[in-house]
Parts: sequence; C-alpha cells; structure tokens
Amino acid sequence: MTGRIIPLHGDPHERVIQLLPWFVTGRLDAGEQAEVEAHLGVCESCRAEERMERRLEAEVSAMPLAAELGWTRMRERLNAGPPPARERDLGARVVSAWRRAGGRRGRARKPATPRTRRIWLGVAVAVQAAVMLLMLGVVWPQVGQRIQPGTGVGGTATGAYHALGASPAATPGNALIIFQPDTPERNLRAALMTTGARVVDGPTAAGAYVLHVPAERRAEVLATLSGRPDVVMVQPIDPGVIP
Amino acid sequence: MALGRRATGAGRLRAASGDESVSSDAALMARIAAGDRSAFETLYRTYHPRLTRFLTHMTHRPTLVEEVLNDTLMVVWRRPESFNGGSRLSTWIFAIAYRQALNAMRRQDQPVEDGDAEARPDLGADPEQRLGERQVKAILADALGALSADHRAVVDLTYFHELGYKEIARIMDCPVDTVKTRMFHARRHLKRVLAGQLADWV
Repeated sequence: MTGRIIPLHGDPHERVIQLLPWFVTGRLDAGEQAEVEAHLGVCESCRAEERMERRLEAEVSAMPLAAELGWTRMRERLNAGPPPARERDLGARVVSAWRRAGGRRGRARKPATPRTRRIWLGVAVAVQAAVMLLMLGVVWPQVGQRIQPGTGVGGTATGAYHALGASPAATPGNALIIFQPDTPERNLRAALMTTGARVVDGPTAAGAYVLHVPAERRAEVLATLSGRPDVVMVQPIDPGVIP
Repeated sequence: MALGRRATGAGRLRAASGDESVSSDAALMARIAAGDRSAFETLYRTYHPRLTRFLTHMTHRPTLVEEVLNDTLMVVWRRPESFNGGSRLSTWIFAIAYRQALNAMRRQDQPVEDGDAEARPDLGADPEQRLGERQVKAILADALGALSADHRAVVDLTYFHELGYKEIARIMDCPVDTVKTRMFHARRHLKRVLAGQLADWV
C-alpha cells in the first residue's frame, strides 16, 4: 500500500511501539499511520499496548496544571510552621462571606466532606485571600486610574499599556475562579471560551486563577461559570467584596 | 476578532495548525516586529497558558516558571526578526522556552539530562499499595517528577500539546530518534509505576 513498512530496528514491534504515542495523538504522517494500523491489525500484544497508550495519554493530558506541584510546596510551607494568624482569620472571613452568599450551589448542602478535603479547601481559600489582597491593594488602584467608567478593562480606547517588564500579576482582573482539581484542560478552555473570560494570572499554589471578564457582562458570566459542575468557586474581585 | 484569536491559541497546538493559522502567525509577528505592543499582548495571552503548562512540567519548579516564561516572550519581543518563517511560530517559541528553561535549571544546578533512564528503579516497592494510598494523578505527578527535564518535556509536548516527534526534535534541537527513545523510556517508567492501575486499563 505505501511500501514504507521498513523496520528500522529489525523489530516491527519495537518500531510500532515507539510510534504509538504519536499514533494515538494523530501526529504521524500518512505512511507511518498506515504502517502502524497494518501492524496492529495482526498483533494482539501491540493492540494491548495501544489501549494502554491511549489511557496513559488521556491521564497525562488531563493532569491539572501543577496542582500536585503547588500542593507539595504548600505542604512544605505548612509543615515548616503554623500559618500567620491573620491569614487564618482572613481565610475564615472569606469562607464565612462565601457561605452567607450561598456558596456554590449544591456543594454547601452536601453531607460532611472528608477532613482532608476541608483542609485542602481551607488552604485554597487562604491562598485565594492572599491573591485578593494583592488585587485589592495593588492592582485595583491602577485599574481605577487607567480605566474610565463604561470602558471594558483592557479595552483599547485609552491606548494605555503596562510596561513590558511588568509582572503579569499587575494585569487587571475582575474575578477569581477555582476549578475542580481534576478538571480536564479542554473543560477549562471551554468555560473560558464560551464566556469570553480570560486568564490574567494564576494558577496560584492552590489552583486559583484571576480572570478578566467583560465588565458589562460580569454578573452574567460569573453566573454561567458558577453553574458549571467543574467550577468549585467563582466570585468577583472588587473593593467591598470582603466584609 | 480578538476573542477568536485567543480561542484558537488557547487550545492544544493542533487547533492552531493549518494555513490560516500560519498566515495569522506571520501577520502577528509582522506587527510585533513593527513594535505593536497590542500585537505582543495578544501573543503573550495566547501563549501564556501553554507555556505555563510546558515549563511547569518540564522544570518541576513552579517558582521558575514565570521568570522563564517572561524571559522567553521577551526574546520574541526583542528579536522578532529571528523568526524566519522556517517553522511554525509555536515551534519557534517553544524552542526558545526550552532553551531558557535549560539555562535557568542549570543556574539552579537542576539535572537536565538523564543518563540513568533505562536503569531507573520503581518509585516504591509495591505499586499497588501506593495506588491504594494515593490517587493516580498524584502518582503520575510523582512519576513524572522522577524523570529528567528532557523526558518530561517530550512527554508534555507529545501528550498535552500533541506535537509530532519531528517538531519536538526541532524544539529540542536533537535527532528524531532521540525524541522517540526518550518517549519510549518515559512511557516505560510511567507504566511501571502505574502497573496496578494499568492492569485495569486494558
């Protein structure tokens, strides 16, 4: 058919197995694709390898972005000593405000969650609170200076841009979101694409992202995101949000 | 318009392939070469998520990622003329990121190459027990962490960014057989660590 079935290493199994990662992602050229397909048609052991390969690819590509790495580093910090008192207090305040506002639909009504999950959530909220402080204390005054009422944040009407050397943390954001830790990248992408939201910072060690959503549609966008099953929490970042 | 551009760039690299993408990449780089900061901001936002993921998994040092990412895109801003159109824009940018990451890791004395890949032992004496204690993703993260930066780069570029081995070879400036070999050893290591779980996959 293609005339290209030439085992380079003397073993067709070895050659096919070496090509499997790019076979399952569809990145082989037509000749190699046909070669692998032909071999899989007659080799049960390589078909088993192919099934394993597809699952491995799915697991690796669905890994949350740095969640484990971030958590490992956070755990090291926690083990090094107790967190500052004000961090715990602020975390408690944010959790309290979130629960008073109704929290994430369905989640608050769930029966007792495992202790480890509560601990994780506490850490997540504490880190999120730190991000919010940063946004409120550093970024928002800059946004207020740069953005006129009625103009979308980041709009081009003013023609003002950050200096290129500026940290991305200074890019204006107006919402904070936490996805479920095991949310596939494609779901995250779909959530942002369908709502017009953009990631302007994050993830934090706890996996929170700072978003910019169109100012005039923010309430609608946040409501849409809040309704997604893979969103743990989403809330606006504005002065006055923290009681 | 701008949203469409971001939507294309936010996905896996395959979504940005094709003639239309190539021409829009060329147009974007022409604007950047002319000093258009809004064009550069568009490129920054387009590549930030993908480079963050790639650099995080390659370096396994979250604190390095932002620095390397910004150094990478600063090269794009300062030397746009070095993109000659001989490869896809994404290939060129990932190659810069790869080199910047290697340099940053060497400054921190992090191992980059891995001469012991074939002889790597299991992470634990009892993979099934480990799987019983921790989630698969946590074990995968550990298993990837035990690989060298070069192996992790190949795994991430292959599985998540869905690049072909030839393009990965261009990014890493190595022979295609080296890419295949690194991927072969990385998969073997991951499968060995996940042995108990893999039995349920097939």
